[in-house]
Amino acid sequence: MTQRYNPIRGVRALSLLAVVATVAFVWPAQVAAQDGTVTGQVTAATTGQPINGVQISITDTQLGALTNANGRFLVNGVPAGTYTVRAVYVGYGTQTQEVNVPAGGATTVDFGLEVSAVAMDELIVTGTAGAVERRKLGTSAASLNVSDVAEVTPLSSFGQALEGRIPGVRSIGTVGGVGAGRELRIRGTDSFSLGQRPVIYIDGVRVDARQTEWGSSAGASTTCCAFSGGAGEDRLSDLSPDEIDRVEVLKGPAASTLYGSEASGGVIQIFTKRGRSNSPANFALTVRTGFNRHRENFPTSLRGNFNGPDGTAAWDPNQTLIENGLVNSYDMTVDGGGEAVTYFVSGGFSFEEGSIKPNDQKKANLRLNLNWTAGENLTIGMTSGYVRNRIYSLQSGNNWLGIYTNALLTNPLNATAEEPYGGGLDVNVADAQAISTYADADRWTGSVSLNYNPLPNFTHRATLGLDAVNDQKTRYLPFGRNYTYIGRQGERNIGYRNARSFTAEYVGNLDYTLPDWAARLNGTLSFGSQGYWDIESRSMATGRGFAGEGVTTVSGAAQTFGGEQFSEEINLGAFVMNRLDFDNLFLTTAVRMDGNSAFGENYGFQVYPKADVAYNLSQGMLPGIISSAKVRAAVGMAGKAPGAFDQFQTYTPNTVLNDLAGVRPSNPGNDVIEPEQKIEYEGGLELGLWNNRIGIDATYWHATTNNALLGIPLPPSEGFSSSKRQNAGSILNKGIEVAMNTTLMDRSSFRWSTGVNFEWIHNEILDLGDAAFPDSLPVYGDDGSLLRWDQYMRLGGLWVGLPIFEATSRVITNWDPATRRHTRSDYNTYVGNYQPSTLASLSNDFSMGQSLRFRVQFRGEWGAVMRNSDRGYGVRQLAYDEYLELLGPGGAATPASDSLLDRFRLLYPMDKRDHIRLQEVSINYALPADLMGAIGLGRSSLTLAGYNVHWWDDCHCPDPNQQYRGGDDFSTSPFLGVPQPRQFVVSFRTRF
Amino acid sequence: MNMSRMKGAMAVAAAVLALGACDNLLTVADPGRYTATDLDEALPAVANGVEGAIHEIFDSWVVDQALLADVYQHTGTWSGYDDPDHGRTNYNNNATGGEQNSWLRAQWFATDAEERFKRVLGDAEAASSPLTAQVRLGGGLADMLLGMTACESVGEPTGELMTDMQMLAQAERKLGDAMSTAQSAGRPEYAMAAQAARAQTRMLQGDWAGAVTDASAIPAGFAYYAVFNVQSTNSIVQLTTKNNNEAAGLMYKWWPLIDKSDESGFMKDPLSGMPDMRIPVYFDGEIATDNETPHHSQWKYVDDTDDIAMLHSDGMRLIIAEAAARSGDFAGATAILNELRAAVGLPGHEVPTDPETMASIVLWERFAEHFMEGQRLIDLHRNGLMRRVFEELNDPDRLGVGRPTKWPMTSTEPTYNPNINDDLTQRCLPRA
Repeated sequence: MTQRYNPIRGVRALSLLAVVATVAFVWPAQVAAQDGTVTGQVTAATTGQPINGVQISITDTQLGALTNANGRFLVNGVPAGTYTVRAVYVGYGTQTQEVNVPAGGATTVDFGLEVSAVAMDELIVTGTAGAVERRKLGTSAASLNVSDVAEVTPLSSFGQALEGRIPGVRSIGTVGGVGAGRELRIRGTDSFSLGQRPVIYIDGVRVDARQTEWGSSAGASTTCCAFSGGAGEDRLSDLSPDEIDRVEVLKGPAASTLYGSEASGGVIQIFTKRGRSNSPANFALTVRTGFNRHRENFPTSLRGNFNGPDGTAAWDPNQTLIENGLVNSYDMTVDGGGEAVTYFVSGGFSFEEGSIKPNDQKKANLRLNLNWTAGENLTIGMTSGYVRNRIYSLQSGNNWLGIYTNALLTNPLNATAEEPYGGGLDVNVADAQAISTYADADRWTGSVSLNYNPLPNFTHRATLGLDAVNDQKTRYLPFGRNYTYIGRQGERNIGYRNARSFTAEYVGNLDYTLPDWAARLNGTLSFGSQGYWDIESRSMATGRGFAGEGVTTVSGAAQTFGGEQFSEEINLGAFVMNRLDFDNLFLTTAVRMDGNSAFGENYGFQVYPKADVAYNLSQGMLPGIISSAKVRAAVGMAGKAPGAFDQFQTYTPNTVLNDLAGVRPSNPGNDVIEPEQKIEYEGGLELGLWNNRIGIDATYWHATTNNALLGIPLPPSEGFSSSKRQNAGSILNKGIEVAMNTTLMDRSSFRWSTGVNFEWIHNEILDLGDAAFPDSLPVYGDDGSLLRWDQYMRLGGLWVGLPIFEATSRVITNWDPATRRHTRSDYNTYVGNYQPSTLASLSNDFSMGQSLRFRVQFRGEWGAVMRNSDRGYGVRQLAYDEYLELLGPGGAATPASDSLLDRFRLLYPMDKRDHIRLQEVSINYALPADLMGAIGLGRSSLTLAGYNVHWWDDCHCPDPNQQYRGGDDFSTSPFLGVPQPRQFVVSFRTRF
Repeated sequence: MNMSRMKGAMAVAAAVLALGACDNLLTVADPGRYTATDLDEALPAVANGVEGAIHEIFDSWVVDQALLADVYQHTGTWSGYDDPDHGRTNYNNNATGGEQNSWLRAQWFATDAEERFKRVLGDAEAASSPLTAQVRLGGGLADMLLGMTACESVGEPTGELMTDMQMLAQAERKLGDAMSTAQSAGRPEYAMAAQAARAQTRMLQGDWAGAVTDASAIPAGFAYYAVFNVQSTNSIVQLTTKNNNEAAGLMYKWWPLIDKSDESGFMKDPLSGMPDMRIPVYFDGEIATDNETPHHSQWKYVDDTDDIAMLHSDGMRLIIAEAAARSGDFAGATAILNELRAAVGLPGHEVPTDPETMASIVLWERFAEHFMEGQRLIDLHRNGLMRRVFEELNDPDRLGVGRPTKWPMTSTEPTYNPNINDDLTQRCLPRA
C-alpha cells in the first residue's frame, strides 16, 4: 500500500464533531441576577470529624460545591429564595435541608452525616449521557473514590487502587519489574484474539493503555528485540494516584453501549481532581518512602549445598539476587478557587527501584485542571496532565538476557568463581546486569470541555481531547561482555513509539415533562456524537558490533538495521438515549451507531441498542430490616473493532537472497470483517439493611460475544501465512458478583467496617462457526490410561464445549520402573482454565478513637491452572530445589532424580493458581492537630503499609500470579516471569 | 424548551455519520504492506520472494533433519528439539511443520506469480522471462523439498493428497520446465540449479539413469546455496553452535572422532584418522545449555549469514558414484569417492568387494560431503538403515525400533484443507 495516512483526514472527522458542538453552543443564554450565599460544614455524625469532598448541591439549580479538608463549603450566587440543599458522599447517607436565602445575604447550614453502606444518591456520569443518581441506573456501574483509598493506603499505582475493590474487575500484578504491565480485565475473557483490557478514559479522553512490549513487533524481528524481555511497560503506570479523584467502571455492554465499538470489554473512566469554588488555596503534601523486596521463595534455596568444579559454593539467588529496592515519592497538590474559576494543580516526583536490579522508575507528574464559569449558563473546563516516566527496565521474562533467568536456571554443580550461579545457560548474570534498558516516555493528556446550559432543562457538553505519548526505548549491550548470539562486540537498540489518541464528543440532554395526564412521568432525552482517531507509529534501529568502548550510538556500529510500523483507526458514532422516570421506576433505552475504519470496506455501520430498568422499592413495601432496595435489569450491546488493518489483503516486504527486495503473502484480508458484538443481560438487587448499615449489591450477568473474531488458519497450500480474521465464533461468559459492605460497629471510640467482594465466572466456547473441524480428543483416567475418544470441534488449541482459553497438556500414560522412563500421550487433553472461576476479597477497616485506623485486605482466587513451564524448565536445567533435593552425595544423580528429570523432559507440569493473598495492610495515625497546628500544618497523618505482603498457594512457583509477558495475556505461563515483589512503605500526608 | 434547537443539534449529529458514509473519512491504509495490486509494479520482488521463501527456512530443516537422524542430539531444554532427538515424532508433534508450511506457501506463491507475470507482461514475454524461470525454479524446489521431507503432501492449493513419490515426480516436471524457461531467458544459473535439483529428485525416485544424466551435466564448482542475510540469518548458528544457544550438538556417537581443543578443528576420518576438512567441528569442553552435556559444535557455519549449500557439484558426483555402486561398478564408484577425498587431502578407500561395504563407504562419504546439509536422514530412510543405526547405539532413550524414518505431513494442511480427511491417524508415518 503506497498511501500513507493522511493527517488531515482524521482532523476532518473530528472537526465534524466540533461543528456539532459549535451549533449547539451558538444559541444565546438566558442571563439572570443572583446574589445570595449558602455556607456550612459537613461532619460525620458519630465522630464529629469533618468530611472532605462532600458534594453539596442546591436543587433546581446548577449550583453546588465540594467541601474542603475541614468539611466546609461555600456556594455563591444563589438567587434569593427557598431551596433544598443536599449533601452526598459515598459511605454516608444523603441528607437534605431546606434553606431560605435572602437577597444579598448568607445562609449557614451544617450537616452531620450518618454512616451508610448504600449510596443510592451517588452521581454516575460514565455510560450515561449526563450525571444520574445511582438509584436510577439499571446497570451495575461501579465507582471507586481513589482519594479516599489513598487516605489510608499509600498507592504506588492506579492498578493497585483497583485491586480487589470492585467485583468483576481483576487488577493484579503479574511481573516484578517496576512500571511493568499488569493484568487488568473486567468480567473474564470475551474475545479469542482481541485485547482484553477495558478501554480507559481520563476526564472524557480516550487514552493509550498499552501494557505489552512493542519492541519485537515493530515489523522487523531481527532489527531488535523485546527490549526488556517481554514484560512491557504499562502505560497506566504513567498515572499518579495523587491526581485521581475517583474512578467509574462500566463492566460490560449492558452499561457501556454508548461507547460502541470499543466497549465490549468494559470502560474505566478516571476523573482527576478539581478545585473548589470560593475556597482558599488548600495545599496537600504526601511523602512516601519504603522498599520493594521479593519473598525469598525462589526455588533455589538448596544451591549453597553444592560446589562447582573449582570448589565454588553455588550462589542462591534468594540470598544474592534479592535486594531492597528503594521507594520514594513526593506529591504536592493545591486546589481552590474563586467564584468563577477553580483550579487544581499538582506536581509529583517518584523514584522506585525493583527488588532485582538494575530496575527503577523515575517519574514526574504535573497537572493543571481549571474550571471557569464563563457565564451563568456556560462552564469551560480544561485539564492538562504531563508525565515524564523513565523506567530502567528489568531484563526478565522468556529472555536469554534475563537476570532472573540466568541466575535461576543454572546447575549449581557448574558454579565457578566467574559464574557463581552456575553458568551454562546463555549469559553470565553479571553481564546481564550490565545491560542498560530504558523506556522513556513523555506524555501529555489534556482536554477542553464546555458545558452550556441555555435552559435549565436543556444542557450541552462538548469535549475535545488528546492523549499524546512519545515513548522512546533504548537498550545497550556493552562492548567487551559476552552476549552469546551477538558475541562481545556490543549492540545498541533504539525504538520510538508515538501514539496519538484524539477524542471529540458532543452530548445534549433535554429534561422534559409530559402533559398533565402523565404528570408523574418525566424524562430525559439525550443525543450526541463521539469520535476518536488513534494513530501509532513505531520505528526502531539496531547497531551491532562496536570497535571498542566509547561509542554507543547505533550509527557507530558495524551493522545497522531499521524497521518501521504504523497503524491508524478512526471511529465515528452517534447515539440517542431516553430515560423515563415514573415515581420510583426508571426506564432507559438507547441506541448507538458506529462507523469504523477497521470495519470491512463492504460491511457498513454497526448498531448497538440497549435498555435498562431500575425500580426502587418504597419503605412501605419492605420488611423492617430492609431500609432500601432496588431491583434492576439491563440488556445492552457493545462491540470490539477488529485490528486496524485486518480487512486488507497484504504482502509483506522482506529481504531475501543477497539482500534483495522480496515480498511474501501475509494477511489474506477480509473485506466484510465486522466488530465483535457482545450482548449482555444483567439483573441485580441492591439492598440496604438495618438502617443502611449493611449494603448488599448482587448482580447476575450473562454475556454472549457473537461474531467473535478468530484467526482461522488457511491451509498452507493457499499461500498466506497469517490466519484469516473472520467473525466466526461465539463465546459465553456469565457470572455472579456480590459486594457487601457493612459497618459492624460505629462509635466515637471505635469503628469497624468490613467489605466482602465475591465473584464467580463461567466461560465457554459456544461456536467456532466455519472454523470448526470435527476432531477427536482422548480422555484419560487418573492412572493415565486412555478411557475413550470424545468428539470435539477444534480450532488450533481451542475446543468447543470447554471453558475458553483452556490449558491443555499431554499427560503421562506409562511408567516403566525397569528403565525409569515415562511415556506420554500423543495428544493434548484438557486440564483446566487459565482464568480463575472464583475470586473474592475481604477487607476490614478499624478506626480507634479519632487518630488510629487499621486496614487489612485479603484477596483470593480459585479455579485457574497454569502450564508451569518454569518448574519443568528449572528441573530440566538441573537447577531447582525439587530436583536438587533428590540428588545423592556430591550431586550424584539418583533413580528418583532421574525419574523426575525424565518426567519433566516429556512434559511441563500443570499446577493450580489457587491462592489467598494478604494484599494490603496499613496502619494510619492522624497526628495531633495541636502539634501540627503549632508548626503551621493542618490535618496530617502517618501511615505504615504493606502491599502484596504474603500469599498462600500450592503452585510450586514463587507466585501464582506471575506471567512472563505481564499484562492481560490470559494464557501465558509463568515461564521465567519475575514475580511481583512485596512493598513496605511509610507515608506522611499533610495539608496546609 | 426550544424543540427546534434540539432538532437542529440532532440533525448535525446525524450529519456526522452521513458524511462519514459518503466520504473517505473512515478510510485508512497500511504504508508498511503491499496490496495485490501493488505487486504488479514489483515483479522482481515477487520472484525474489518465491525463491527466498525456499531458502529462509532451509536452516531449520537442516537442524530438524539432523536431530531425527543420528547427526545431532538435543543439548538444550526445548522440547521442540528433544522430541525429534528421541524419536517422539508424530502428526501433532512435527518439528518440520513450519518448514513444510513455508514450502507449501511458496508453491502457491510460485503459481500465483506465474499468473501475475502473464497478466502483466503478456503470455509471450512471460514465457521467456527470467522472472518466470526464477519462480519455476522456486516452485520446483518447494516440491522437491516437500517430497524429501514428508511421506505425503499436496501439490496445489487445497489439493488432494500426494505421496512423496508423486510429489517428487511433480517436482521433476516443474524443474524441467524451469530448466527450459531459464535457458530461453538466458539465465544458465537457474537452469543449472534446476537440473541439479532434478538429478536429486530422480535419484530419490530410483531413476538412477536419469539422475546420472542430470548430475553429469553439472560442472565442477557449481553450487546453489540457501542464502541468508542479516534479516533471515542462519539459525543453525544461533541455535546450535558454540558461543550461541547450543540447544543441539553433534551426537555422542561422533564424539570419539572429535578432539578437545581450544580451537576449532575437524572430525577425524574413520579410515585414516586424519582430520576431514569437510566436517568442521569445535569442542573445548564447554557444557551445553542443558547444564549437563558437553557441547560438540558443528563449525561449518559460523556467522549468521553463512549460506548452506542445497545443491552442489560434489553432491552430483556422489549421485553418480552411488549409481555406479548400485550397478555393481564398485571400482568406478570408489574412484569418484576417492577423487572427492583427495580434494581434501584424505587417502582413498580400497575398492570394496561386497555391496555392504560399498554401501557403508557411500553412506560415510555422503555424510562427510553433505555434513549439515540435511541429507543424512534421507540417506538412512531410503537405505532402510534407521533401525540398525540406532540399535547399534544401544540407547534406551533412542530406540531403533519404531523410530520415524521420515516426517509426517504438516498437521496444518489436513486440518484446514477440506479435500483431506483431517483424521490425523490416517496420515502416513514410516517407522523403522
